[in-house]
Amino acid sequence: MPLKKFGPNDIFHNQLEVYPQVQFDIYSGVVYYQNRSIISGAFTPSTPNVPTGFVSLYEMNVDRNASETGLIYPFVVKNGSLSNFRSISTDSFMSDFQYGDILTGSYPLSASISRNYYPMNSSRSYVGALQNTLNYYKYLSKHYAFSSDLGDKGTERVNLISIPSIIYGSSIKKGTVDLTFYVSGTLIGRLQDTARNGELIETSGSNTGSVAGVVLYNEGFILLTGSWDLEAPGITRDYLNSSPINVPSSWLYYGVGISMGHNSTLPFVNYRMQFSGSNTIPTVTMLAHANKGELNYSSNPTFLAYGSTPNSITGTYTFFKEDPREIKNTVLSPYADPTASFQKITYISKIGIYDEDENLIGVATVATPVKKTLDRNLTFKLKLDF
Amino acid sequence: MATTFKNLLSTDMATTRTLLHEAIPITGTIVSGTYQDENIKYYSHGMFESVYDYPYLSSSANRIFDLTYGYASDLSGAANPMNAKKLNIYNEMSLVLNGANLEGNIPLFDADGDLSVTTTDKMNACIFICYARLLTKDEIKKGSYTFSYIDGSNGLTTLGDYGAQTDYRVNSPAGEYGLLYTSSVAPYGESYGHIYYQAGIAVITASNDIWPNALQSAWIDTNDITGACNDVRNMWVDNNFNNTTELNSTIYFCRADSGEFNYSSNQTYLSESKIIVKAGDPSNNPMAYITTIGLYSADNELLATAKLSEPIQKDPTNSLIFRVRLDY
Repeated sequence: MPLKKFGPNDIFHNQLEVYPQVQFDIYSGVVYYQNRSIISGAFTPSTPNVPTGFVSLYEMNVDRNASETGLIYPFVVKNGSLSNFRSISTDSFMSDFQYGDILTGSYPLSASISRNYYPMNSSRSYVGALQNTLNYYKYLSKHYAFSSDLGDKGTERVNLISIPSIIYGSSIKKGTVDLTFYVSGTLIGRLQDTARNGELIETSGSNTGSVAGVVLYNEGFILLTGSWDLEAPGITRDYLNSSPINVPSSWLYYGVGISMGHNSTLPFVNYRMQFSGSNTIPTVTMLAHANKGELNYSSNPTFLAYGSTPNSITGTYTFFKEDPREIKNTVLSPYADPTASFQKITYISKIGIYDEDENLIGVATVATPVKKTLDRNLTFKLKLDF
Repeated sequence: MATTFKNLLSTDMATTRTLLHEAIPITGTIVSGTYQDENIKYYSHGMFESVYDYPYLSSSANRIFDLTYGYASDLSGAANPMNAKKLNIYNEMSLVLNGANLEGNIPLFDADGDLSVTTTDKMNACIFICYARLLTKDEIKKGSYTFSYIDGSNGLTTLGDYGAQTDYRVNSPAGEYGLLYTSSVAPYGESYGHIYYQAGIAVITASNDIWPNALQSAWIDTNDITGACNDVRNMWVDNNFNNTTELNSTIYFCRADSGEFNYSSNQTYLSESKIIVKAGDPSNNPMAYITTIGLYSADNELLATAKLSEPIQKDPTNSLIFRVRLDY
């Protein structure tokens, strides 16, 4: 196989920035992700075997259950590499399993948004863990400050929405966060990060222009502290599942119904959360040239005419001389006989990428073999995403 | 930004390989019946059919395997349905899995895998199950494959690559393969097929009495390829195997000896030019809390960072070794 070296202008390193749009809808205690409805399967209540609103990693156990179809599950054998599943604690790994034992995990692994509401002066370990991070972003906006004259996130009421990174990638794209709050189909409030500095500013509602919270773009958290009434005074609802003591609609109750013990089936109230993720995909583009007069010979056995086998006479006193072997003429002729004039033609079907030690590290296959004649210049553009 | 570097010696680095497996069950409930064949994709060329784990029009569905049938030229008959395509399928599979012989001809599948010696155990008609890479990953684990079906003549038949952990063949250009037996107890007796571990293809004889005679002949001269595949699917009871994914890791042993890394360049380490952790007494030992380990290139470029779940106290009275694992 001929090897050809890439020139200095044949390899390009690029980064592809992609911004996938994400939309969550929360209604009546059910979270909908990307407008996907609940699809009941033959063996599970919701395919692909996770509740709607969840992302299934690997998507392996689509419509499977343990009793009728069996579940796909991962396992490793405990050995010197000490590889283990996160679901097995280090203590258990060391004491409960012998070398050679099988450690099993389970699929599906799933993720979705979650919500934590903290009343006044309540214990809040999750918010406390974000203290340094919030203070770090004070250079973007004073509203990030954990404690300031704008409020103390350690004691005030906080509505914390957590977004796992599998949803958004590297970070949430600045300026794309859009939270809307509907009651009976009427928009009562809308928050957007129009300033692109993490402040969630009310663009529609009872207190337009006010900041109701902040977004941690890189970490995937939304903290809402805006406690003003979004509806007319006197209108209250059972957000806290504490009827008859109801509370007025505010940003503190945005997302009620996301995996928390509040009133998950509150009628007529729904929420929509939209944002774009941000992902950087490094790519390498390689240009593989097949110039005129190059790559017009193949080591494939079919390159030779049928029956064109070499003499293989060997022996202690035998002189061996390989006979010339005929290359198959594949040039199309309008006549069966005579055939067309011979040309060296190959059909390029694959391009191998080798490292400097000539180890094959990648193969690019073309959709259909490309005809290569002596007078034809070809350039194949190979793109590799990481 | 680190200001103190320590070179990793060759003895501080080790490479390991971990084999991660998945147990894959493919029951008959998935392959036929449950979805009224909405999970079976048929093609106009009719050369094979694809089986999905859910109706394939759903975005949730995954293709799990392709099923096809073929025979060698000695069973060829001009009147047979899809005769040329059955021949092509067999020849293509044989060329890929057996390779051409020294004469440049396509050999027949051989039950015991020995292409040169025996001539009476050729599998001249075969069922081919080509598993999706999603299921087989790097390779199928040797000794884990079983395939069960039921028919009216023989009842339940189970084929497995019993004993293949140590006894497998290596004379295929497609990688290693094991032989499929009906007996799980050594000596296993006659082989009825092959399972190609790296290629993820099962080849099961269709010209042996493990299938009813009427079916064998119907697949040749009455049914097209789709008909033969549907017969196999409808008899399908269970299919299990384990796949393997190879995880390569490099382990860096980062050593902090007693006299090392007891100070920090962190701004919070000092207050009024005094080391805070000494609590105002200069005679106290210095102390640092290690939170992050950075791996740098020879040019001091930061390549990777390892975070500890909690800061580890370091002072001159202790010596620490951090085991940093990088998976590829």
